[in-house]
Amino acid sequence: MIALAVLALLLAAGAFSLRAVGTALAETRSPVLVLPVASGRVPEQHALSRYHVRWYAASVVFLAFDVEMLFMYPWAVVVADLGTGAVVEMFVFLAILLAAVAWARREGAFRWA
Amino acid sequence: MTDPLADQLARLPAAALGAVLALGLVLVLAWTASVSRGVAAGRAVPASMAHAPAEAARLLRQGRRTTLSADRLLWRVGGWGLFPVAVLLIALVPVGETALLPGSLGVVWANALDVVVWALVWLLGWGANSVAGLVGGYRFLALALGYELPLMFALVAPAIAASSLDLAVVADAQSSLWYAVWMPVAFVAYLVGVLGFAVSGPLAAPVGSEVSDGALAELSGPDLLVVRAGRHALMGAGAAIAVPLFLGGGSGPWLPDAVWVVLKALLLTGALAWAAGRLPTLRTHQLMEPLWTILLPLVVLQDLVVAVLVVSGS
Amino acid sequence: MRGRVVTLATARPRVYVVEAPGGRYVRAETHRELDRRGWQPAPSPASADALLIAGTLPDPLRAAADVLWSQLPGPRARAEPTAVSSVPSTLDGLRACLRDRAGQLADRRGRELDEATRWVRSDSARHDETDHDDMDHDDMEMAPGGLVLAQGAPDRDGLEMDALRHPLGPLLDRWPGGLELVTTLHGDVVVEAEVTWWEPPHPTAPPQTGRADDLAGGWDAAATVLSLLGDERQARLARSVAPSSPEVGDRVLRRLDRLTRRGALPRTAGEVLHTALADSVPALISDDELVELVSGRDLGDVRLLVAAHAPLLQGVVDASGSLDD
Repeated sequence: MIALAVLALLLAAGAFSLRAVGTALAETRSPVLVLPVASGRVPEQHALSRYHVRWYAASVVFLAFDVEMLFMYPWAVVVADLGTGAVVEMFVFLAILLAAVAWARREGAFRWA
Repeated sequence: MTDPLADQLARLPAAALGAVLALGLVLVLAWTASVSRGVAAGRAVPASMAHAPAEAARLLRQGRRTTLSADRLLWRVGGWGLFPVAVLLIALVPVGETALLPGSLGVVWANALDVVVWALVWLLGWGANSVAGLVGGYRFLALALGYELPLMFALVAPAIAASSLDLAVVADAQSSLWYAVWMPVAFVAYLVGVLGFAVSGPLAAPVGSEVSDGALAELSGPDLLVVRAGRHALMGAGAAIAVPLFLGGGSGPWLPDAVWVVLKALLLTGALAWAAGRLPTLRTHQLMEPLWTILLPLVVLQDLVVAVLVVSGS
Repeated sequence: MRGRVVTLATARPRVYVVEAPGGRYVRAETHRELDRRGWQPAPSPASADALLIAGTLPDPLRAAADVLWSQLPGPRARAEPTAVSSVPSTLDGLRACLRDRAGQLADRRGRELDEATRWVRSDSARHDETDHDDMDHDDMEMAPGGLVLAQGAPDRDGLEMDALRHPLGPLLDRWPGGLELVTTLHGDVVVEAEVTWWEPPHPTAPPQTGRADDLAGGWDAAATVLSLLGDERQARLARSVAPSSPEVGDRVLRRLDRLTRRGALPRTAGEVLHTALADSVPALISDDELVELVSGRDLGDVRLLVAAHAPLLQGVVDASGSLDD
C-alpha cells in the first residue's frame, strides 16, 4: 500500500516537473486552440459522431470469451488438484466458444472494407 | 508492531527506494526500446542513442495545442496515463527478493493493467475531436479485440503449469525448464499482445502514418512526449512481465537474481523493439481474421496441452 | 544551458512537407535532402516544427496554407521553395528561423491563442452570404463551437450511422499536389468521394523526360507508399534508387511484392507499383476511375492507393505535361 502511494507521488512529481520544464523552454503556458487536421480545410462538422464500427459482431464474441476468463483464472490454480474431469469440462466449454468463432468467421464478422 | 500506520511507516524507506528503482528501470527499458527501434530503422547506434534525448528536448520546447471542442480532460488522461500503467506493470515483477507490489494475483493484475490501455488509447484518439484520431482510436479497439484473447490465454498457460497466479511462484516453478521453451505458442501470443498494447510493429495501425499518425494526430509538445515514452515503456514493461512468466525469473548462473531479471528484461525489450521496427504495419481489417481464427485456437490448444501435462504429471 | 537545449532540440527539426500543384520535383528533392541530413518528415502539422510547401501555390489555396500554418504548435517556421536547387538553403533557413529566439517570441506574441474559432467564424460567414436559409436558429444551437454535428445516413449494413465529410488534400503530406478528394466516411470506410484538381499557376518542366521520368515517378510513388506504411528504411532506399544502382531497386521491389503478398498493401496498389517499376507504364487513371478505386475502402487504404497511383493520375500528368501543348 505504501509502495503504491510512493509510486503515485513520484509519478505526479515527474509529470509536474516535465510540465514545468516544458513551460520554461517553450516560454509559454497557454496552449493554442486550433482546428483538427483536415488537409488545410475547415472541418465541415464535428468528428465525434455515431461512428460505424465494423467489428461490432466480433465484440459480442469477445464478450463471451471475456466472461469465460473469469472462470479460467481460478480454474488454472486448482486444475492440477481436480484432475482430468476439470480439464474436460473447461475445454468442452472452450470448444463451444470456438465454434462461435468459426460461425462468426463464416458470417464475415472479421472482414470489412 | 500492531499499529497499522506505524507498520506502514516503517516500510517507507524500503518502499521509496523500490519505487525509485522501478521508475528508473521503466525509463531504462523505454530508452532501450527506443534505441533498438532506431537501429532497426537503419540509424547508426550512436544516432539511435541520441534520438530519445533530442526528441525529448524538441518536444519539451514545443508549445501545447488543443483542438476545437476537444474533450480535454479525457484526452489528456489517455495520453498521460500510458506511462503510469507501464510503471505499475513493472512494480508487479519480482526482482530479487520480492516485487514492489507483491501478491498472489500478479498475473490477474497484469491482465487488468493491459486492459486499462484499451481505454487510454481509445480516449487518446477520441478526445481530440479529429477524424484521424477517431479512426486511430477505433482501429485500436478492433485490434485489441483480436490480440486480447490470445494474450489472456497465454497468461493462463504459465499459471496452469505453476498452479498459481503469483508471479514469484510462477518464476520459481521454472527451475528446470523455462516456460518459453515448452509453451512456445503461449510465449509468441504473449509477445504479440505486448506489441498490441504498446501499439507497435505489425499492430501499429492505430498510430498509422497513413492516417496522419491516427490517435497521435493532434498531439504536440509534452503531450506527445509522454505518449511516445509511454508506448516504449509499455513494451519494456510487457517484456519485463515475460521474465517471471516465461523466462525463468531470476534464475541464472553467477549473477544475483535481480541482475538476471533486469538483464533478461533488457534483452527481450531490445529484441522485441527491433522486430517491431522491422516488421511491416499490417492493416486492421487484414489482421482480425488471423488473430481470431489462427492465433486464438492455437493458444487454446496450447493451454490444453499444458493442462493435460500438468494433470498427468501430478 | 538553455542555448544547449535549444541546439539539441533543433538539431533535426521535423518538417511537414506538402506538395503544391505541379510541385512533385521540388517535393521529391526535399525528401531526398531530408534523408541526406537525417531529418524525419512530420506525419501531421500537430507535431511539426516547420511547414514546407514544395512548388508554387495557386492563389485559391493560400487560405488552406494559412489553416495548416495555424495548426503548427510553435516554435514554427515556414517556407515555399519553388526550385529544386533552392531546397538545401531553404532547409537551412527553416532551422535558423527555429533557433531565432526573438523571432519565435514575436511570432508567439502576435499569434491569437484561439485560431480555430477565427477560421470557423470566417468559414460560416462565407456560407452565410451564399445561403441565408441554412443558418436558422436551430442550426446555431446544433453547432457547438461553430461547427455542426454530423448527420445520419443509411449505411450499407442497413443501420443509420453518421456520415463524416473529410477532405484528403488539397494540402496533405505524401499526397499528389493539387488533388482534393472530399470523402464521405462511414466510420473508417469511404463510401463516396468527389475529385477536384487545383492547377498550378504555371506548368513545371520535368528534369528528365520519357522513360526516365516515368521510372523516377514510379520510384517516388514506391517511396511514398513505403513511408505511409511506416517503413522509413525502405522508403529511403526507394528514394535513393538511381539508374546506376539496379540492385537497390531490386531489393525495394522484392520488399514491395512481399508486402503485397502479406496483405500489408492493397493488392491493386502493389500491382500498379510492380508494373510501373518492372514492366511498362500502366494506363492513366481518370477522375471517375479514381473515385471508383477508393470507394468502399478503408481510409488508410485510400491513402496507399492514391500514393501508388500518383504518377498516373490525370491531374498530375496534366500539371507537368501541359508544357508540351
